[in-house]
Amino acid sequence: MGLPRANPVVAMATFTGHLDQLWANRGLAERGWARETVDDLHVVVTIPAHRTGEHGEVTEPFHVLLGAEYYDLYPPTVMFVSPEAGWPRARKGSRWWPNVVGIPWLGLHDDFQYPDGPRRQLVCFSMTAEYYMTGHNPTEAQRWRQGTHTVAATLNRLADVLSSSSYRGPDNASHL
Amino acid sequence: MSIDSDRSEHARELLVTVHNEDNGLPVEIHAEPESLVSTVIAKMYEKFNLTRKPNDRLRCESTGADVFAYANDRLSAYEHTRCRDLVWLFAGDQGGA
Repeated sequence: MGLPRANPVVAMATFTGHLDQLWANRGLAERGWARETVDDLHVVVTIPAHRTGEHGEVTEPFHVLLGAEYYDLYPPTVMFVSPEAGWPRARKGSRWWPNVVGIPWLGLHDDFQYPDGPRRQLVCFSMTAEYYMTGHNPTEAQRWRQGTHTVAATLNRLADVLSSSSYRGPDNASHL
Repeated sequence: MSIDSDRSEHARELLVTVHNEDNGLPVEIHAEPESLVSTVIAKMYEKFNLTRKPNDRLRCESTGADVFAYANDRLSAYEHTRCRDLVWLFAGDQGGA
């Protein structure tokens, strides 16, 4: 399903305002988060993932490229990316792809066939725009609602997963 | 009410801070130590202008423990034994893969 594009100036201003609120209210910089504006509609947010490793607590950053193309009638677009020039998409099996198991409401798809375009990554839950592009039917309580949800809903859920017992580390480590 | 007596009133109360993870906005709730956790939860929903839904999540930030499970506790006892900083995280439902 093609989503209606938002006015880019309005969308990015709204998105930035919401992100600024979250950043300040939760002290994210002090918690090890980072952000970088990529272009007029995109920001990369670095989320620290936490787990207990062999030698104690381990913190590993992951980077998500967020887009305001459809914001905030729809959630931001979301893609895990690699910290290289141009922020290319992260691939399964790489350091920049998180190994997450057993979250019934989250699907991480490395190479998904979208209904109306090329194959690409899909971060699938109801707080990403891509969820609504790929034929899902959320309940009213699950659905993104403008005025109720902001990019905070997207980022807080990702952070929650990346600090839960379902997070097993970077995907390249699972092959060791 | 004078400023001094207002300060004195709040001094006897406990402060619960709830971060709404759906929109990134916090609310603060002052409550008597002997009030029930359920009373604070009700005030939270009122401040958020929401009604409780079956899959809402409310947890203590420092422990991750479900706050709803202790709804019948007195707030002072709950603070002492379950969630010392009284900072909660609220999130509504989300749809899945």
